[in-house]
Amino acid sequence: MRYLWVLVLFLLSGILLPAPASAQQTMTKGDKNWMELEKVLDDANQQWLCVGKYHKPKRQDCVNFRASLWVDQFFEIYPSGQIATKADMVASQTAGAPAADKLNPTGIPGVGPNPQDFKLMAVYGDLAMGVDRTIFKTIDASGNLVVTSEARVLRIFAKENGTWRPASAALVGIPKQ
Amino acid sequence: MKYIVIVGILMLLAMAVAPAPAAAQLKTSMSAAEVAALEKELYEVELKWMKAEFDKKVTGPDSMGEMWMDDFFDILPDGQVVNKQQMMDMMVKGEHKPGTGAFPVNLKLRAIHGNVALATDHTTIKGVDANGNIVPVREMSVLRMFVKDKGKWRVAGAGLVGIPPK
Repeated sequence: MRYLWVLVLFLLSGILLPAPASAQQTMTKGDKNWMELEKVLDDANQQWLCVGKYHKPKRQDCVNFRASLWVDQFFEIYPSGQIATKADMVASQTAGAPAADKLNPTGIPGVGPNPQDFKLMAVYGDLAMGVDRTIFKTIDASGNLVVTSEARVLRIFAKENGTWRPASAALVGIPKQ
Repeated sequence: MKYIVIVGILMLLAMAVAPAPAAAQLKTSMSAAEVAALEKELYEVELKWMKAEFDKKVTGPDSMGEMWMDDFFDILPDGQVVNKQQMMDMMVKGEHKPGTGAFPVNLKLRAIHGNVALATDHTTIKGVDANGNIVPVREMSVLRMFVKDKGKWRVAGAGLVGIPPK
């Protein structure tokens, strides 16, 4: 009994130490935790691209939303090979927002990137790597949604303060069949 | 006094048993010199990675099998996704004439998240033309992913984005 408080202190010292990365990665490919994380990241991906229930009719609202999600070190490689930082992307997308709204004044969902088949590929501590197939669509002269291009996308997410956030992407253009 | 010694020993034991958190393994706010040193280190890993592919080395020190994480994957310039075994098979089957292969330059460290480093580079693929000359056949921007595993930088994969010819 007299050593009980010593035991309590010992246990507390273990609790107060931050969890190591290896302990956070308590999953193996395809198991329940893996599949659950894949769903969480698929949803984070939808948020990133303002699709589905995260659709924003006004382009600038989407730019602001995704900028709030991207980690500070966020960067992307475009299908052209150009590399852009978070600041570059916020600036270019903000500049392009009026033209995007002019093309799609009623904010029809589906214009822009449409990610499909998200697959979790690897997890290292608080960093997760996945791939998807993203279909880009626009509105043609008749007002119909049409596909402009497709890309296989490497999507990387970082867990910060308990939330998975977009950390990076590389968009590999898929040649038209 | 006796209790203080016991508590001290137990706390030290608890700290020794718990591995260092990922964030502590690498500083997120690095000096320019530290960034340059890490870029140099990762570039050396990258050159070994390219050499292992060219030499079709699948086992042993500095081989694809050793350097690549088990969950390694690549997105190839045509959009195909390949895992570690598929990529090693592709490299082993390929014909590698001296002077051909992948030649990366300008590796730039873009982000560090815990024990993962994300970098970009410009990679030129060289091949042989109809006259037997070694020529650049493809230029790419590449996102390269590295993981510090048991104190050693290893390769997690890459996204190879082909740069369209001008």
